[in-house]
Amino acid sequence: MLRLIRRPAFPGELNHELVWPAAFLGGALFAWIWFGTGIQLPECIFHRLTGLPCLGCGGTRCARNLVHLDFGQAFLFHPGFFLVVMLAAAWTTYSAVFWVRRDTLRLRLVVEPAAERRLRILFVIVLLAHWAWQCYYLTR
Amino acid sequence: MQIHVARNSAQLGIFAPEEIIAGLQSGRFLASDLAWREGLPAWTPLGDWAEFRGVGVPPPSPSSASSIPGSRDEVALELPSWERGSSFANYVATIKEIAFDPVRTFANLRDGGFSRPIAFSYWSLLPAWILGSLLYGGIIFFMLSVGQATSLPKDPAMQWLSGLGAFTAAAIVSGFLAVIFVLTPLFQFLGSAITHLLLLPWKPAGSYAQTYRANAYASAAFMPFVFIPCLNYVVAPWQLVAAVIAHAQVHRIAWWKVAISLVVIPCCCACGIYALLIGTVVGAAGKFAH
Repeated sequence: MLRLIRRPAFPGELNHELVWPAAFLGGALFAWIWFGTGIQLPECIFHRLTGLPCLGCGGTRCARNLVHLDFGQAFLFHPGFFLVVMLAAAWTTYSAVFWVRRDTLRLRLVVEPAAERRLRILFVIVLLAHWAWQCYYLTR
Repeated sequence: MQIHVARNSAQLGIFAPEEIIAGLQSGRFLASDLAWREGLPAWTPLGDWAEFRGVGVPPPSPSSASSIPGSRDEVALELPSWERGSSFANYVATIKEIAFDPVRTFANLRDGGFSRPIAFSYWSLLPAWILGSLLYGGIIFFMLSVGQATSLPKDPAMQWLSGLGAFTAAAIVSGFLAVIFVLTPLFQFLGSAITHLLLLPWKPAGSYAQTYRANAYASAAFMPFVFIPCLNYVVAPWQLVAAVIAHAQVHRIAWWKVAISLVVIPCCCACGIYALLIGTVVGAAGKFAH
C-alpha cells in the first residue's frame, strides 16, 4: 500500500530535505517565542457556537506542552498534531543525516495507485475517531 | 518494473512500461518527460530510453516552434510578469496584474519551480517589513517616549516591552517582524500543503508546486499594503478573493468549490480564523459608523 523508496531528485523537484526541516525548526522557534510572550489565541468560534471542539482545538495546548517537553499531556490534548510534530522531528533528523552524508538518493513515500481509495477512507475514519476523542477529552 | 515520470518539476506518477508506450503514442507522455526506475543514478528523458526510442509523438516541426515552451512567442504571453524576469518594473506589473486581472494572470501561470515565487515573496516582504516597523515600532517608540506606556495594551508582551525603553522596544518589534517575514515563505510551504490537501476532493489539475506558486503570488502581491492603516481592511478580503481565483484558474476548479476549501472548511476547522477576521472588520466598521 505504502512503500518507502530511495531515488535521486528530478530537476526542479521541491527540496523536501531542506524545506520541511527549515519550516519545522522555524515553527518551533516561532512557538517558543510566542509562548514566551504569553499572548493567547482568541476563543474558538466553533466551540463558542456549538459547545463542541473543532478539529484544531487542543492544538495550541498540545504545542505548549511539547515546548515544556510534557509529551504525555501533549498527546492527550491533540494526538494528530502530536503525531505531525513527531514525524516532522523524525524527518528533520533524517534530513540532517542526509546532508551530513551528502547522499544523492532521497527517501520518498510511494502510494500504490490501487491503495489510494482505501487510504482516503482510512483517513476520514481516523479523522472522525480523532474528533470523537477531542469531544471526549476536551469537554470533560 | 515500475517507472517514475516527471514533467516541469512535478511528478506525473509511477507507471508500467506498457503504460508509458501507450502514453507516448497517445501524447499523454512526451519524449522530453523525465523518467527514473530503481537502479538508475539519475532521471533521463523518455526519448533517451532504449525501450521507448522511436515510440511516440514526432519532434515538433520548425513551423510550430512558437508553441514550444520557452520560445519567444510563449514567453511574451507568460504571466505574471515576474515569471519573465526579476526587475522592479516586472514586480510592480505583477502586483497590478494579480490585483486587477487575476483571472487572466492565473490562467497563464504555468508549471515551474519555487524560486521565482519565493523571490517575489521576499521582494514584497521588504516594503511590508519597513511599513510594519514604521507603524508598530513608531507607535511604541512614540508612546514610550512621551510617557504614555499605560495606554498600551495590558498583555504580558507589552508590559515587558514598556520596561525596556522606547528605542529598544521599537527595535525589538522591528526585529520580531523581520524574523516573521524571513520565515514567511517557509510557512507558505506548510500553508500550501494544507491548501492542496483541502483542494484534493475536487481533483485539482495542477501539482503541489502549482498550489504553492498560486498561493505565494496571491498573498505576496498584497503584502506591501497590509501595514497601511485602513487599507489593510480592504486588502485582506481582496487577497482572499485573489487566492480563490488563483486556485480556480490554476487547478481548473469552480470558484465556489475553491471557496469551500479555502474559506468554509478553515472556518469550521481552524478555530474560525476567517470568521474572526470578518467579525473584527464588521465590528470595527460598526464602531466607526457610530
